[in-house]
Amino acid sequence: MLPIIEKDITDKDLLSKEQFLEYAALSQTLPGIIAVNCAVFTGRAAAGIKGALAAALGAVLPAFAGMLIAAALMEFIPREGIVVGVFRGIRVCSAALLVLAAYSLLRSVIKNKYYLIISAAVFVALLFLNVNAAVIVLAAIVTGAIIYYIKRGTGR
Amino acid sequence: MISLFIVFLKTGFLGFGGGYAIVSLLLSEAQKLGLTYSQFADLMAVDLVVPGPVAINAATYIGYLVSGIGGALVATFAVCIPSFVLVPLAMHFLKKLEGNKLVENILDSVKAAAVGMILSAAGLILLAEFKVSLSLLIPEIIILLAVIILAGKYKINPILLTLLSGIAGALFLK
Repeated sequence: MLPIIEKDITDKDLLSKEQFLEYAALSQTLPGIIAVNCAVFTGRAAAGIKGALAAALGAVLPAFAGMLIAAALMEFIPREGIVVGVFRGIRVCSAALLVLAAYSLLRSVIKNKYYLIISAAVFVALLFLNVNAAVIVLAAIVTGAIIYYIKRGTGR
Repeated sequence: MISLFIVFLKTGFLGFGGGYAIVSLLLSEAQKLGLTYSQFADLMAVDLVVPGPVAINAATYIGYLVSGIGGALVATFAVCIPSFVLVPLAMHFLKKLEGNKLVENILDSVKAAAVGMILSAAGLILLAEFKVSLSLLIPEIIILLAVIILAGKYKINPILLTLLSGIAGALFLK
């Protein structure tokens, strides 16, 4: 999605390429939806708060409309006979694609193999111990801070 | 409706690492929303077909399931609020945050956690499927591995794989 937006933004002279790329990178750092973050950054920089609202609306509306139609259609699909099997197959497929999404995030964020311990601990806590995911994120924030102070304490 | 709003606001603020992290946070709130893991798995399937950010798709879909079009609006609105709060703050404090080692360490840790969260979301969906019947276990594992290999190694289009998995399901997972 980002390369297409980048081309349009720079073609229309809304932002410089460097500025946009910096915002795009920051959008991935902040929590929340990356596309909406990016829309708010560029919209605000190009045209203030109204620009931010317009850009965010543009980022959200197509998905919202498409998904609303899909959700409404799903209600009309009978859940019996062969359809049950079709949905089972697709669910397994979506789980497989989630595994791949986790793997590609893993490759892009893990600079230090010790962080894998965090990934593994989170996996076990959520899957087997029924810990709430919001608590996990807060715990990860604290863990990151502790790692920082340990590193600083040992002078590395 | 209020609990729907709060759940999506919370997941928006805590969703580091993109849309799939938000989805796995939502999965953890499934019981609060009155949804099953199978419904989440259906959402992930529909998401493949409808273009757009996965978290917007999830908010619209789950909001609609929980309380119709109004629910879809509330959930989608709520999940976008963090962007409007955090982005202006980030623009203001940009210079101070850049190169801050504490912030870097926290983000690394949170993203490492997101990897585990997304994997556990896959695990929860699979466990719910595997429980249905033992005789389906082997074809399910074959489909799982086939999709991972075809999408991961051979970069086959996810929409095509969804279609093929549906056909395989119709043949072997009745």
